[in-house]
Amino acid sequence: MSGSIKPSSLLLKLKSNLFTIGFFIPAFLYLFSFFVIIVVFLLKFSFSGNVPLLHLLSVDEFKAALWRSFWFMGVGTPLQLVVGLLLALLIQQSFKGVGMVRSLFMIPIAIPALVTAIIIDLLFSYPLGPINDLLLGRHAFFPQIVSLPVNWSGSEFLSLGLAILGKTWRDMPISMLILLAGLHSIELEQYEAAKTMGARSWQQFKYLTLPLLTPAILTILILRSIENWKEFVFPFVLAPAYPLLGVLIERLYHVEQNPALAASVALGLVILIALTTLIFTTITKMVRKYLVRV
Amino acid sequence: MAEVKLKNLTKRFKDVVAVDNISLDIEDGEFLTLVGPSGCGKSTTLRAVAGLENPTAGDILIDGQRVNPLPPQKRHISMVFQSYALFPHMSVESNLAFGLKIRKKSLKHKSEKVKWAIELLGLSGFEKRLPKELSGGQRQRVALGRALVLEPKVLLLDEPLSNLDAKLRLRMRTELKRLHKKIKTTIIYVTHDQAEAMTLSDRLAVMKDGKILQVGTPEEIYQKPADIFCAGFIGSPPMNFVSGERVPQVEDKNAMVGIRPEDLSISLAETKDGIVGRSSVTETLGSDNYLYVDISDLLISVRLKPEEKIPEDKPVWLVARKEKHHLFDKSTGRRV
Repeated sequence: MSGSIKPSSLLLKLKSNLFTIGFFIPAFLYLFSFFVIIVVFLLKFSFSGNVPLLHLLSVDEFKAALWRSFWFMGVGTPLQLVVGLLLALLIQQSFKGVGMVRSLFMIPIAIPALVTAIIIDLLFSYPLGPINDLLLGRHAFFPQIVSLPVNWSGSEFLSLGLAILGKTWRDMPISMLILLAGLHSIELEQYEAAKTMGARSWQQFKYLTLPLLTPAILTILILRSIENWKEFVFPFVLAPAYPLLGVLIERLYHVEQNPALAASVALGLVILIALTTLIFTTITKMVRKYLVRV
Repeated sequence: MAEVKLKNLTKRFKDVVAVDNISLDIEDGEFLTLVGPSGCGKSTTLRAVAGLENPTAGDILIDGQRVNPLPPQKRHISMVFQSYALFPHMSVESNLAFGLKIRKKSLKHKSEKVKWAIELLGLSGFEKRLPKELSGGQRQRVALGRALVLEPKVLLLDEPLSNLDAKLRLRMRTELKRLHKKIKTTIIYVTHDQAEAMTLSDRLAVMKDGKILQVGTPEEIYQKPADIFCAGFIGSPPMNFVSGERVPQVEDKNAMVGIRPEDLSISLAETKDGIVGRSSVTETLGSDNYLYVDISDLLISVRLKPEEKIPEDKPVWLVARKEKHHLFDKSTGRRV
């Protein structure tokens, strides 16, 4: 290959590909307006305040929110993966009424997140919520577990736990569907071959299902971790006293009228998301490599 | 190495009887082929031996031990599937070593066996490749190697050559035969291709509708087919069948007469005891040519010697020596 392309040949190439280029223009404009412009403004805003990005860690509010968001992501992401995988393995089996069960599991995603969050909030309200009634033994069919009503939203651990559960419940169909598609792409004969070679169910799962599902698993880890990092609705409704990064951004912008700091936090969030994606990709590849070695 | 016995084996899927009360003794080191049209129960029989299907009734014995309750991994068998079922995410090496890894063999043992298989099957240089980066023939060999490294007592092959193109199939057929000579493992082979069955096997079992119709060496089945189905299924082009009343030499006019294309002689002049017909088309294969002769409603194939030339669309007389006639009962189809 020679190093330079003659301008005339470049023009010719451009001309012959005009049709293809034409197709890319809408996508390009879309990306440009929704991505480039937003990032530029984010950068501009975040450097206009008096707290530069690197000094964010000295802001106590940010540190606390970062820590909570880390736990939210760190517990929520694997939980959503495992629940999705179990459900996918369950509804992949053929049994009577599997079609109905499959549709049933799709319901959560059809309900707006805000509605789900509010219903959970009502269920767990203090001191007179249905769940507290249950735990206090006010129904004959359920034994008494606690003697005093539990203040769910008053505890950081419990309120964030509820937020994680709500998020997992609502988004499980996404993980389930991605994994189900992955499971369907594995041929039955591969399992039979493994069986004749002596692999038990657990070994078939470990050496066949798991590595063959890694593309699906990685997709879920990335999508879910991004979602969990920037989660807003569930913690906003269920744990208002313990803001996550997403909630903090809203508060800084609307309540405290500090758009510069809000932008800095948002930029920090973007960096965290990029780092997490990198880490999950590396880990998944390493696990896969370990599983397929001789 | 081991002998395999099937005793009154039956497999039913709901209302369908896939395997119908078959019994078969396979000797130690034998290459036995189950051959028959699709849906005859040959693959189900093989899968039952492998432990992938539970027999509805009957027993399977490997080396004298009843294996019905045993899972596949305890039967000392290996199986090669029609689709090869290679693990797409594993290299050739990992695929070959998979069974050994499951059996927790030492690293040394694993690498020795893998090396052995790679050399035996001519796969060197491809150790690190993924199945999708291999040709059909190479994939087939990996599937075979993966089964062989486990040193099975019985090797089960389910239509292993049917996904290959014609030329490669012939080559792999020879390779498979040489391989069996070398390793001397008992092999049960399933195919719908009668030519494959004839060329590879020590013995073959012809199956139809879940039943075994005949068991014997390729020569036995070719020379003395037990019934009309075996006679028509084994041999290419298939045996010709003519009703007894049309063949002057045959006394039993109720019988069906089967004559192989190579046993017929043809003449342009009227022949004693000959059946008259009209020459239709000639198929030229090079070493042999086949002429098709119209005798009223039937098309009879006749093998011609390469130097023999019969013009098309002329009256011809066909005759076969009496000892070359295969007589079958018209109602039962059995040999008389």
